[in-house]
Formats: sequence, structure tokens, C-alpha cells
Amino acid sequence: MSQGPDNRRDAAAAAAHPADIEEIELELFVHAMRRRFGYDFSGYATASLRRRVNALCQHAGVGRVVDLLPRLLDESDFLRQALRFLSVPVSELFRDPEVFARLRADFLPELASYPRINIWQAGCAHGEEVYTMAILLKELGLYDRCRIYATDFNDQALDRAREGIFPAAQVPRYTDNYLQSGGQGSLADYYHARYDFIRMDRALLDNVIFANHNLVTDGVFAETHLVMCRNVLIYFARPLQHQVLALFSDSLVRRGLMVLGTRETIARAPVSELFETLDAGARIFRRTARAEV
Amino acid sequence: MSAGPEDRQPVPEADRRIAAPYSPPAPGRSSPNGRLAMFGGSAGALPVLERLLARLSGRLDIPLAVVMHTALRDQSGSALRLSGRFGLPVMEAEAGMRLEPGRVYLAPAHYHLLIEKDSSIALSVDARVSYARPSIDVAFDSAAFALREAVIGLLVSGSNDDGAQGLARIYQYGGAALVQSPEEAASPKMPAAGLKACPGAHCAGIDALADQLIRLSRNRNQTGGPDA
Repeated sequence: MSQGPDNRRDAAAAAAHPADIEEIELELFVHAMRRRFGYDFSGYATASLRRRVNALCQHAGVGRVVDLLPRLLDESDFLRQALRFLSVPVSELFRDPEVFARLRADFLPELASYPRINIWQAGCAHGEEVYTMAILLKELGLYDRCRIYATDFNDQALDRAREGIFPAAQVPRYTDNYLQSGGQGSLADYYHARYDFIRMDRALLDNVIFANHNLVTDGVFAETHLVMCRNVLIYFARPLQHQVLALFSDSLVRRGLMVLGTRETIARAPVSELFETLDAGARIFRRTARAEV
Repeated sequence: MSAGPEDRQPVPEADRRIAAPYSPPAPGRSSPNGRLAMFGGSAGALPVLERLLARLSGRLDIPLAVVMHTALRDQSGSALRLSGRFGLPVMEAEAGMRLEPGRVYLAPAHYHLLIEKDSSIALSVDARVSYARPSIDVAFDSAAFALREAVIGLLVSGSNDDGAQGLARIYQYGGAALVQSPEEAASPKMPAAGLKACPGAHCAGIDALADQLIRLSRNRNQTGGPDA
């Protein structure tokens, strides 16, 4: 690019490219989040982060990213709004049903050989996938020996996930997904409809532990048999992706399972050597018996 | 937002908006220096893409990213079919994929497609934008930010105004904006919205735009840089 950082001397004379200004503003925002609150977004991939911060600008009614800074630094409640826009987005019950069909038919049953099964749902957002896994495990008769750790760095998201309230308008889609995933009963057995919302059955949470955990800064907290982390790594730049994949690898028992989003890849990660691909389309991987890389 | 020629004048500080934040540095449109082509369309866009690929076959030496609302759940089938037909490598985009010259990348259904500065593809499942995911605006806007004057945006047939803002951003950031003439488009609304948001865009039939795209992609070999 012609507007490289080496043109500094001429910077006063030549107008900056607007994209340069945008970049500087984004860096200032990231810096403020880290310095003021300890949330480090510097390892996030720029394109989506920029999109999210611009959405926050629109929501906040400010014209440009630097205008967020006074609000961020001075207003005690603004952080909550900011995190909402920077967090893992909402999902669906049984999103990508073919993934859950495969888990149901072939891979979860093999976890039955463990007396206790630890499952880590990393970046659980509003909990759609937590309830999905709980239903799946109930139907497989495995739920009672499972513990599901549902983590997110955003406390508001964890609160929402605990509530388990979803829009009723989504029910037809959820139901379709459930049936396509090989659901054995009726999805309606697992929620109560109320006005425009459904509330998931509380019993699905009996073995769920919600916890604040930041994939960027926090470490391994349990030995797990299955890590579910779908469509979270796509928001990270490669070094952070690799760091988080190493975290999952460290957390998994030998032969433990890892499930990523259907358009995510581990191909370029150093830990990819420690995983075998069980289902390329569904992005289901198994930690091999090998030692560390 | 509009990005007509009048927007190329300096904008007073107070008038800066997110939608159209800045005027570009060099008002004279030197020569966009195409290193990435972005194709956006909706209803009626698939035949246009096929016609474009037929025309580009054997001549395309930059990557082409395709964002269509009408995408099927599994784009790899379409990719395979298009590859076979036009002798161009067509693939469904995956997160982190590097854009390679002469290849065509289809945005997967239900994901936004974005471009990173290192010319790799990013995907997102963030909320729909104007009911669309993939959103053409999101894709075009991210490409403009990442690669600036190296981007060629091409907006074709479609029945809503997605892509118009993104095309204007590509143009505003120094890239080239091409629009299928609404008369030729099966659904004229999208190209018409593109022309309205980006009056400086080059408007023509798809065959002429294909040739223009090739010319723009070869600029870089002759000028040695956008502002050289």
C-alpha cells in the first residue's frame, strides 16, 4: 500500500487515507478497553472487530470511534453495552443439525465409557448450544454423569444463558433443527411457552456450571472429554486462534473430542498434529494419544 | 450515504459520519489498481455470475470474492459445478483462507464474508445486516477498509439495496466501482441503488464490465503503484 507507516515525514503535508484514520481510532479503542478494564481485544481479527465497534457507534449514536472513548472511560455503565457488541453472537438450538446428528449417532456414545464426562462449552453466549447439548445428552442417557462447563467472558451473556429464554418466533426453526439432528422426542418437551418467549426446562441445567472465563487471558480449569467451541475462533487473528486451540488441547483428555464451527479450520495451527479429523464437514476432531507438540 | 463527486471535497470535522466518515485523500481518481474483485448480487445474480465467469475464464489474474444472498446451504456443490463449467478454480470460502490470484471464492450461506488486510478471508455469524447474511455491504466495506484502491467492486442484479453503501465505500476509499446497468439486470433495484449511492460508478452491461475488470486488474502491472 502506498500509505505505509514509512511516509511519516510527509504525514503533515499529505492528507491521511481515511482507512488509516479508522485504523488509528480502532487501536485507540482497543487500547482503552485493555487499559481501563483489562479486556484485551488486540488478538481479535480486525475486519469483524471493526464492524462490531462501528455497530456500537451506531447504537451509541456517536459519529466516529474516538467519540466512544469519553463514554467508555467516564460512564460506569457503558462497558456493559460495549461488551454486548463485542461478544460471541447469539446462536440457535441445534444450529447445523448435521453436526449434532453425527455427535448423537457416532461420537457421544463412545464417551459412555467414562464414569464422568466433562464438557466445556467455550464462548456459550446466550446458551443455545448449552441447552442443545443437555437435550442431546438426556436423550442418550448420558446426562446424569455429565458436567457441562459453560463459559463466556461476558457476565451479561452468562446471565442470559442461565435464564434460558428465547424468542418464540424461533421455535419453528429450532424444531426443524432438532428433528434434522435426529431428535427422539418433541422439542416442546424441553421448554415452556410463555407469550412471545419460550423458557427452557430448568432440569436441563442440573449439571451445568456457568462460569466467567476469558479465552484470551484465562487458562485450563478442568480436564475435559469434549470441547465445543463453534464460531468463536473465527473472530480471532491467527496467533490467538492458535493459543486458544492449544488451550483446548491442554484441557482435553487423550482421545477427547473437539468440535469447531463448520467453516473453521485447525489446519495451520501447531496443535493440528495432535488431532485427528473424525468428520471433516462437521468439524469434529479427536485429541490423539500423542504427547505435546 | 452518498459518495458522489461532491463528497470528495474535504468534509468539515463536525459533519463526519460513520456512514461516510471522510473524504478521500486524493480527489483525482488516479487509477484504481485492482488486486481483488468483489462481486455482489441477489435475485437474478447467478446467471450474471455465470456470464461473468465465462468471460473471465483464462484471463482472470486476481482473486474474485462472490457474495450472493441466494446462496444454498452448501455452497461447495455450486463451487464444484461452476469450476467444471468455466475452467476457473471456484471454491467455498473458509475462515482464514488466503486469496489467490485467478481463484473465485463463494461466501458460504449464513456467514458474513469479510476481507482482512493480509488478503485473507474472515467469516462472521454476527447479526444479519438489512436481513441479509452474507451481507454485500459488510463484504464490500471490509474489503475497502482492508485493501483500499486495490478493490474492484461489482454490483449486479438484485431486489433490494444491499451493497449500495459498500460500493460507495469502495469508491470513496479509492477503489473502482462497477455496476451492471439496471436495464440489463433481471432485478434492477440493487444496481439502481448502487448508482444512486455511488454516482461515480461505471455502469455498463456485464460483458463490458468483465472487460473493464480485466483492464483494471492489469493496471497494477503498468503503473507500479496506485499513486506512483
